[in-house]
Amino acid sequence: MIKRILSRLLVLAVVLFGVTLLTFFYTSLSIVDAAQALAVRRFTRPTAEQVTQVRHELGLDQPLAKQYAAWLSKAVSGEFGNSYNTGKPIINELSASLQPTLKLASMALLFTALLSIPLGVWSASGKGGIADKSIYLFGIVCMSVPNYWIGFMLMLAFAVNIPLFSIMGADDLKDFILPALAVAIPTSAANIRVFRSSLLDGYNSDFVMYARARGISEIKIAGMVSRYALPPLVTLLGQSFGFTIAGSAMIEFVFSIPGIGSMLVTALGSRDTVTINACVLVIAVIFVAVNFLAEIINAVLDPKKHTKERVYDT
Amino acid sequence: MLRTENVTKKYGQQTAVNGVSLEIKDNAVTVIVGESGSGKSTLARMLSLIEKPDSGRILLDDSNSDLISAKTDRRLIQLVMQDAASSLDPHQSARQVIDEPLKLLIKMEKVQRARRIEELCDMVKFPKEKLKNKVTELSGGQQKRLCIARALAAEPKYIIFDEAFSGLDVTLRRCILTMLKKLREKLETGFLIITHDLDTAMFMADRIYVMRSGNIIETLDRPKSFLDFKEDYSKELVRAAEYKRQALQI
Repeated sequence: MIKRILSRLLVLAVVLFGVTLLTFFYTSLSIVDAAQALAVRRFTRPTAEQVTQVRHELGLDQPLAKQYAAWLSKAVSGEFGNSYNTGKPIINELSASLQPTLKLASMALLFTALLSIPLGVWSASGKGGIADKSIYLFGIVCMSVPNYWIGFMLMLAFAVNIPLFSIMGADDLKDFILPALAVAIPTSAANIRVFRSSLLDGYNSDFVMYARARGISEIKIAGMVSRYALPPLVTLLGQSFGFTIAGSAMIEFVFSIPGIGSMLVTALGSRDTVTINACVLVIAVIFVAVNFLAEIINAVLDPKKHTKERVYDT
Repeated sequence: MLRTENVTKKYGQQTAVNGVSLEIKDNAVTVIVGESGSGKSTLARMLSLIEKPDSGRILLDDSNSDLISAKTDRRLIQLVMQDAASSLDPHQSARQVIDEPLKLLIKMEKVQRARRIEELCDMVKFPKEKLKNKVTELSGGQQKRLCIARALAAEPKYIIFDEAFSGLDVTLRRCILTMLKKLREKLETGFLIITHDLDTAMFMADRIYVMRSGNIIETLDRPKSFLDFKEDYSKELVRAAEYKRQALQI
């Protein structure tokens, strides 16, 4: 197990290195000159010397590979430099923006699990019945609409017509309920189908049929089946957490949450390449870490997939 | 005694078991032998209450009510299947597999259970040092022994072995059958062996039922040799078994 974890960590490090490499070189392809943009912000109508001076300050006159190496060596120790846009240390802006996004993603993850597990069980237990078909229809509808539209509808219903929640802001946990639901509803629609199908696979598996024939109680059998059915759901939940972090911009925009998605969009608008690189790296680290955690949970839940080679009769 | 009365099972238009009546005695080995598709496994599934017969009754001892409708304690009839791996919960260790019936069905105390697990390992010759291993880490033979230990742990009145010795190599099969034969002498459990292998049937049986196309066509009590079989189909099975033995010798 430890060997497997170490080899997986090595692969993840390579993935992260690839992400930084791609992001850095893609942002460098931008037609907007970051030095020019910053010089305009600083001097309004900068001269050619002033632009050159800014370019030298930022290290943008160095070869691209050297710029990348310098950025990466600092980024590894959490030093991302100052934002071209605000002039403030990026690490401070990142930690401030990350907090609301993590709250949003965690709450969305909780709601996704709370919706997916009971509805998956209900759907599987009444296979082919009215409940199963209704849940299927609900899933299709929820998967077909974008999360920001669900966000607007929730806002209209529970902030405008029934004023239970505020329209904007991220001051306390209550402010995250509607945005988290907007993320969780379409995500859980897909998860319910996967969990239902894993549960049915579990109930139809031979060891469950024989357990029933041997006289094992239904409660114990439900426990057996849950362990069998949970791994695919854990993988999906891990991925959905990562996707919420990475794709939070739209929901953060709808609900005016000052998260990492909003920060990234602002940085993209102002061609703040160092902030873009920092945001992408942090999002990638979280994405990879959460999926790695899901993999470890699955290794514990599903020994069949992670077992060592079987021994044979001699 | 476990018995069936005119049991019939159909799948669509296909009749898998056609009005079969038979008896499985306590303290005896009953063997149902027949080719693939003869209906013997369907009969085993009905006897172990996995499937309901379309008509007829399955009765236990002197009771006059059907096993399923009487909600008989399923613990009394245990199963050992051909594919041991798929009948084991992949999340369990070997110890948990044997512990499960002791804890849930026999309701034994923890200390007694630990002792009983060791006894059962000795009985079926399962290596005790493998008790901590996950079932997926065991060999086919060890998984088979584990399934037998699990069935014995429930202290059943009957154990049904459905093609449980198919797919094992000759040496391992002989070893497990000899072990079972010795166990049978010690225990008061009735064994029902479903097999297509006539050698296994002759080696183990107190009574043999020959099945063909869903019907019992011949019944033999304590057969001494292959010459005891009288029906043409049974003789065909004997010839096939001899051919197989010769082929193995070549």
